[in-house]
Amino acid sequence: MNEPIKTIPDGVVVVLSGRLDSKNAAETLTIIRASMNPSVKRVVFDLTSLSFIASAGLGVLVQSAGLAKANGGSAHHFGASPTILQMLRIAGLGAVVTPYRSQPESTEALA
Amino acid sequence: MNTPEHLSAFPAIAIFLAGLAFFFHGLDGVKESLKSMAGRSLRQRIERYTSSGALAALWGFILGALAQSSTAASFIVTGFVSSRLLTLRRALTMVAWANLGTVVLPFIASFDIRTAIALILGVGGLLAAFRTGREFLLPAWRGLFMLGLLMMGLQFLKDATGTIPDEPWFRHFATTLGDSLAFGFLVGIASRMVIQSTSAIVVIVVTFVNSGILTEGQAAMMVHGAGVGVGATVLLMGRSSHGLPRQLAYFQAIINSTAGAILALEVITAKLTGLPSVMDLIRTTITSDPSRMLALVYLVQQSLCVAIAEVCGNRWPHWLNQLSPPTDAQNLATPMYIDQGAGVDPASFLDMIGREQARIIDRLPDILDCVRSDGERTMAECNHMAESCKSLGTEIHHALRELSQTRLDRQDAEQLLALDIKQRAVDQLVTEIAHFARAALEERRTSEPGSESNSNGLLFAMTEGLHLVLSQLVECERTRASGDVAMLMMIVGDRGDLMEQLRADIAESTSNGARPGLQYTLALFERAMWLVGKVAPAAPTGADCMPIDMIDPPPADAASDSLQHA
Repeated sequence: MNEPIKTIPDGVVVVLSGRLDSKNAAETLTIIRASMNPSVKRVVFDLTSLSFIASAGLGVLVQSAGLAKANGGSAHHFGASPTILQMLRIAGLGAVVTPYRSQPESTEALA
Repeated sequence: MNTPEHLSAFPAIAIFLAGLAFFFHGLDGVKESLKSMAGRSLRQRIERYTSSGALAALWGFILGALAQSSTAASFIVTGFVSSRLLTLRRALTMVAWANLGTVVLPFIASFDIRTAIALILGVGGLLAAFRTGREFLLPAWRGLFMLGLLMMGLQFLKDATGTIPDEPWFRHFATTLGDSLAFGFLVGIASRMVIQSTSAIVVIVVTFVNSGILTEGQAAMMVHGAGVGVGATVLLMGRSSHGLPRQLAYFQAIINSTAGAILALEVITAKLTGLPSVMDLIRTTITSDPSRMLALVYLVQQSLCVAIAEVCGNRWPHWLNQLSPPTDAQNLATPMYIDQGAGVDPASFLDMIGREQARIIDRLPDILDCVRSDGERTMAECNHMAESCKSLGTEIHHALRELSQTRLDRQDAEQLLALDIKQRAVDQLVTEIAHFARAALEERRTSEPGSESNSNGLLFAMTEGLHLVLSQLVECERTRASGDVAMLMMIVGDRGDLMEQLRADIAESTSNGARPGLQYTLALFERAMWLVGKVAPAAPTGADCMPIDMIDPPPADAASDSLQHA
């Protein structure tokens, strides 16, 4: 991941790219955890460049959402491809990591 | 049952194949019946009967004498070990002494076990067919019938090959090889691999010696070769097994092959040096009758097996563990906590049962391994894992039943009930996951080229989604943190609309090549997800999720319904 974490006023944007599976999930989660101080209420996943996600990758999203929730916040995503969207939907993450409907809205939300 | 005379009407190969089929089905049946019976009370009884090495040796000797085949005895003991009715150490003693038990036959060559087999089959089969006695006895009757089937299989194998010595080609072959000791040894190995009973081979060898086909030296070498043949046979027949059953196969192979090889070397050395062999010593000091001489040679060989086993004693388990380490699945099937529960108070015992239950939950994601992109297990290994989960589940039910028969206070009784309900859900979940893995694998294999991307994408999403949920369940079971449980309940929460949508999508794409099996897999996925919610630790009060009890369960027969619908 290049510059995987961007800071926004009340949270962080995590840019996920390429493949997210058992090979790099633990490392990614460690990076996210390090950025999640108590003031981080919102974690937003930028999935625009994510091409593949497996169970361990979905676990990263769930764990991060759990951290945000523990801080009294929430988790979101945007830019997911139809395949990744289907994965999230079928895995039941629709309510755990809620989607921003479109990129403009997400950009606005990030401002 | 056919005798060799009657067999002349049938091709020997057909009888041989039938023998193999009876043997393997009988073996599976004995194992399954023992597994059904393997409650704690039966295990305690068998532990008492084999509490000392001497008792285990006596039972092994009796088993060998009755089965008249060290191979059969070895596989029966394997069934006991697999069902955890016997510890490995005691099993090794039994297997070693079963070899000595087979010596009985050459001394009583006229002993015919066909009547005994028919009686075992008849009594066991009829008692099982009419469900005689209490319900818990049914597996015992089935096991008896299957034991008869196994023994009948061995008898068929012996009968099918028993006429070989009378064949002109064999006699011609034997006479052309003169007094070669190596020939006797090799024929012994080959004979044991088809005849399946060394004691029967000894009886046949006596006829060879009496009719002048073999010299006494060759006959002795044939008996020793048969010892090595036992090793080869046990390894061949147990080649698909792993862990403990394979350890017993190695043990039987090592002690028999070593004893056979040592005595064969002794015969060759005696011939080369002119020193008296064991056979010579028997002839000069005990008897010169060929049949008794060979029976005594066989006795010496089998005693050597026992000696090799006993000399190495406690080192065997360590060596065998290195040769064939117990598999994950076998370790899982062995209770870690509830076996130590005798005498503890009910609250502690319930805690032990809970920990045992957590061990099953911990391995649930592994059952999906065979269908996952980065899974390392094969389908057979995943099935084995599911079987081990069920086996440990049976142990938990036995433990709960035993505890329910004691006096419990209200709190313990409630905890017992909760554990029982949870275990039933875990049992169902194991079954659903295993079915899902099988169905997904089958669906992926048979998906048509045109539909590959759609159906395979859906299969992949379901598999990874289910794996995620199972991994979260493991995490919840480990941490019991309210946040984790709440998150899990959100994931497995009401998915009725989503499933309806997916069903509709699949139905719509059926015309484009999507397979109806996908509907079946989806129904299994839906039910597994719902069951995860039932198994999850109690949701914390006020958690931001819908209690799973408020969600309508997918029907138990959803899978078959959806298949019909599709």
